Amino acid sequence: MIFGLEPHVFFAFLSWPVTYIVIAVIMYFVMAKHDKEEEEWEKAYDKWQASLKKEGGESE
Amino acid sequence: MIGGGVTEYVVLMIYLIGMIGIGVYWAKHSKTSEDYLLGGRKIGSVLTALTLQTTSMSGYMFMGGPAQTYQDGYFTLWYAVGDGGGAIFNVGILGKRMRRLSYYLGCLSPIEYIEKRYPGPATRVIAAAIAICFVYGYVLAQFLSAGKTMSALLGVPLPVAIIIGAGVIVFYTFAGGYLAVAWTDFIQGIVMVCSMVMIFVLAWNQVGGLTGLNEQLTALDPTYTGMWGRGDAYLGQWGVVAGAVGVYLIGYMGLPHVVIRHMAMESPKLAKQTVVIATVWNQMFIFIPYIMGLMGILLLPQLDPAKGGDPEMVVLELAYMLLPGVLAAIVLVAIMSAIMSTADAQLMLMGTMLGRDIYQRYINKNATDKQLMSVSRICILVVGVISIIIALIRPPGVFDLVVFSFSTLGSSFLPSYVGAVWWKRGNTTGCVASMICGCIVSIIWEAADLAGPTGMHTFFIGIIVSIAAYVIGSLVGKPPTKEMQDMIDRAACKTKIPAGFATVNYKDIAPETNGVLTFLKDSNYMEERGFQPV
Repeated sequence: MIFGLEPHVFFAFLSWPVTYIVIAVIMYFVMAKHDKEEEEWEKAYDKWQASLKKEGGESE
Repeated sequence: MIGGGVTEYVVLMIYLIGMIGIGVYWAKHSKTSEDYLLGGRKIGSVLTALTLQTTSMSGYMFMGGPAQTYQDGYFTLWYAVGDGGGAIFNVGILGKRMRRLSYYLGCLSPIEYIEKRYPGPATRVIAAAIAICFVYGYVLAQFLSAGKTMSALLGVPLPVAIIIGAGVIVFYTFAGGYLAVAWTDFIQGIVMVCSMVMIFVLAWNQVGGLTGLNEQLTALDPTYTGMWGRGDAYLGQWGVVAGAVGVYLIGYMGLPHVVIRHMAMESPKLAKQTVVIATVWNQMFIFIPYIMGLMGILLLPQLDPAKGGDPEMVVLELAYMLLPGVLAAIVLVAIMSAIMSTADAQLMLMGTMLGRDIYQRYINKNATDKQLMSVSRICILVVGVISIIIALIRPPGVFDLVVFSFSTLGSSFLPSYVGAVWWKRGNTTGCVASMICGCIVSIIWEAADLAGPTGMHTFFIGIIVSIAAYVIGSLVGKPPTKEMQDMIDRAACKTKIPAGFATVNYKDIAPETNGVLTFLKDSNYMEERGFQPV
């Protein structure tokens, strides 16, 4: 028995709050990693777009 | 009647005046339509997390949920299992990408977002019609809940309670717009969770902790602590379990008044904090009320419906049993908070849709920013007043209205919102087919009362049909334009950038060398000297 419940009942219902918090924390770090990559991507994208505009302006 | 004393009146009046004050304060800060409708897209992570979750949770969590656990035992916690993880799915799947795409598309409302992502004459008409009808049903149900709660707890006549409760919601939403809604939600979220935790800790001691609670419940009736409900009423019904978990785990991604929160985030980067804050808040607020229902079985046996009691009063009865007067009165405020935080978001969405999607689209295409804001305000006022009048004259059943509206909205919109950012092939044909099929199936299922005989929840069948229609329609229909596909790629930060523009980041070389390479690239040193990038 876990806290007066059959183990399968305990895990089915009451293990989730801790599980969800752990998943959320893991997600935080995964998303933080993606943020860094996306930040670099955004910089490169802006640079690329600026160069396209420049080229367009020059050709005009 | 539990309350009805001077303390309850005073505490409730202070709270209602406070909410009005917030509306008046933010009225001065909403200068553009983007400020009024989306808080200027400057909502931080804490505010986003709390407004997202309080909007999702209505008065059901204080009354309906605990009452269900009181009657069915642990089985009802399947709903909590789904609900507890809802924020992870909602923010994790939609948050960042929807924020980016809605910004690139220049959308202020979740219906405008659907129309711009899935362009076509039918999209906006169908989306707006479904959203306006069923969000309106939701608003009406919340107004009725507010009135009934105030009336039952304070002893004031129902019409007076509806006018006061709904009137305050209409006023602060009308005056302060999205920022007033977000800040009142924030305060309401704190009141809700503090009240719950307060009663829970005291009740916990009374029943001898979790072990004491479970042992006493098992002694009373072993099926209370089983997986299949009291008397094993749901024995082996995995379809019902899957529906109960799935509905709340993914359902919120289809509710326009919930997903608009992603659009209002200050930056996509805030999504990661929002996931954590919303999930922690969820675990405190969602599991506790259900467990309090179980505690009520032991501490408040007189609420058993077989004895003529009303199990919906479990949380309130526990509050009055365990807390001193003023704190118990705050629990009344918490219940009103739960109802109001849902109602204000829906009312705000009604104003946004009527102003942006109907007025600016069909009546005055050249409407100025000021005109749009004024029209949205007037729409909020008109919808609010009409809802109050209907609630007074011919009130429908609250529970049925909420379940019906939730199922239909979720079934109609979920595939389109998720597919919008995750599947480039998702197109107008798929979106229209999904909205029509999801809506019609939900209506038929509910009208013919097929949930009981088939063992399939309305939302469950609605979402399956809706997803199937979205996929088939998208595969059959014309793919989105190249521009749209590029924009979806950009929202996902997946656009392929020519090699010469990619940021230098060689992970397997020394940082000093990396720095030199970055300098060479940024300063165009190599190109200036005629070297070509490899």
